Amino acid sequence: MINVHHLTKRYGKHLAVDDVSFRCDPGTVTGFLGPNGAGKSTTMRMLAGLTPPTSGTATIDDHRFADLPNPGRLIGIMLDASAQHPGRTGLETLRISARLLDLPKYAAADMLDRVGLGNAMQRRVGSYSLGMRQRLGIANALLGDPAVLMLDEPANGMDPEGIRWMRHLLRDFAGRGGTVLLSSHLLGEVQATVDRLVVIGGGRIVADDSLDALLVGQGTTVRAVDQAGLVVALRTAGLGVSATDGDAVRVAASSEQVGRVALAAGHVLLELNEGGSGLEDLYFELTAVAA
Amino acid sequence: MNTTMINGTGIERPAIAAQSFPTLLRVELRKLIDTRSGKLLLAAAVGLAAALLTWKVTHTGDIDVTFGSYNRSVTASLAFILPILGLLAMTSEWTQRTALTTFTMSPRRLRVFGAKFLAAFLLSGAVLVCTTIMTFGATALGGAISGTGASYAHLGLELRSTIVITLLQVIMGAAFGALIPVTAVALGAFIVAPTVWAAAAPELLKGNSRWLDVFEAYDRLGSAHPGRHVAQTVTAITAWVIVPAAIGLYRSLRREVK
Repeated sequence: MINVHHLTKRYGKHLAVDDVSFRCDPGTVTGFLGPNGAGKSTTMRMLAGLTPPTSGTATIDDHRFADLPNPGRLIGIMLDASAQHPGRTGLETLRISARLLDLPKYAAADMLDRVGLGNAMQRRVGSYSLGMRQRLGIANALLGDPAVLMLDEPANGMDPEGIRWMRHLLRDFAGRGGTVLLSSHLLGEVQATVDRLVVIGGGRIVADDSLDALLVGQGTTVRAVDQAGLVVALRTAGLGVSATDGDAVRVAASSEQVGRVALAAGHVLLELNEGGSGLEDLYFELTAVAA
Repeated sequence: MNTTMINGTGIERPAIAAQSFPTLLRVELRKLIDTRSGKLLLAAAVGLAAALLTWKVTHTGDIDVTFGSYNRSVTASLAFILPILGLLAMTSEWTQRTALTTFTMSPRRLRVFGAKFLAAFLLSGAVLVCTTIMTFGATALGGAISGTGASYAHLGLELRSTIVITLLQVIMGAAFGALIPVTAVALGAFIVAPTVWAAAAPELLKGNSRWLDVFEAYDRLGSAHPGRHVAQTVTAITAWVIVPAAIGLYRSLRREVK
């Protein structure tokens, strides 16, 4: 469990993180979204004890990070996949961590096999692609068999196969009772992976709810053979209709309400999607308010 | 926390022991030698000593073969190379940005820096042992080749001088590394600053320059009379080693890791 309580970080006159509070519970994957410079990384660094907060607290399973006897055994962290020594092999990188985590030597090679770097473990990290470094960073985070994972932009630089692999890995981790906090700019991937969303803009939390609840507020996207006729029918039924890009329209109602109107008016639907491509729109709506 | 901890998954896990200092020390020692640059640096230290000794042995000429003369040329080369080991131990994490991982896995930074310093110190000591054995061998060989035998006069003083001067240089390298977290800049400052100062100080301070001449202080400490001008020695070492080390450590403990 991650608990962030009124966390604030001030750099001179600039409030990078402004009274941020949220909680990540066991068994859930929480997406941490926000534009660059909104305070995501600063918040994560404060959680990891790398940046002292101006005020407020952050705890992992009720312990301050600095009080953890061996943090990697409770929380696996990857804040920047490229921050690895290019002169070490992948295996050597993990062997050092295994020693710090008080794990047997073979744990390093086993974990590299698990993340798909088995064939590359003897190569220097300098020759790894960004996607491979992400896998190495994730391997490092998972090595101590932690209960909590915190990953900053783990899908960055990964190929579609890697992204799908990571989604399964994180869902599986949460499915076994783990807590995951991840930040990402790949909104489609976030939508497919997370249960909850914490959105930060201008240093403040602008949304903190389950993904479903947030998307329902986004209405329903609908497209019909006779689009103009459907729009008339929807307006007649008293539903708010707004145009989106392309030929679909957004309706401020549930998919059931829209479906019933279409049925009553005898329209053939080509698309009916509650939330729909909503995360992107939701994201811009939320973060635009903050900016 | 020695009690059993119930973590967020609700699964009971065995108590997690804190990272011990010997563990940190072993890890930092390993990090000094597991990269290409680390291995190159150690190879350079031993290789340069070997090259100097080979030259000495093959150019004995008419000069008497003494352990002192062989040892002094090796010491001069070590006093240049080994401090880089101390410096790199302090700067590498910041320059390579691995500090991000290191300090999330070991948040008690003072212990990590202590382990880094001790690791560089111990590794330098190991190199010293190795090169000193080589120096003994080369002296004996040179003595045999010259036909007049080798002299081991003032052996104790020679060895003490090597140890004191080299290890003090390693400490100064580590101090500069702690103060300036960018390897290239720290290395430049370490090589240039004391030398430039040594040249400029006699002009600026006239007879008082001894108070801030750190190399002269090392030589005094390594000499037969280490207690001579003790106030000047302490002042010079404070200015060039202790102050940079203290400021550097203070900033390293508080520096935001990005």
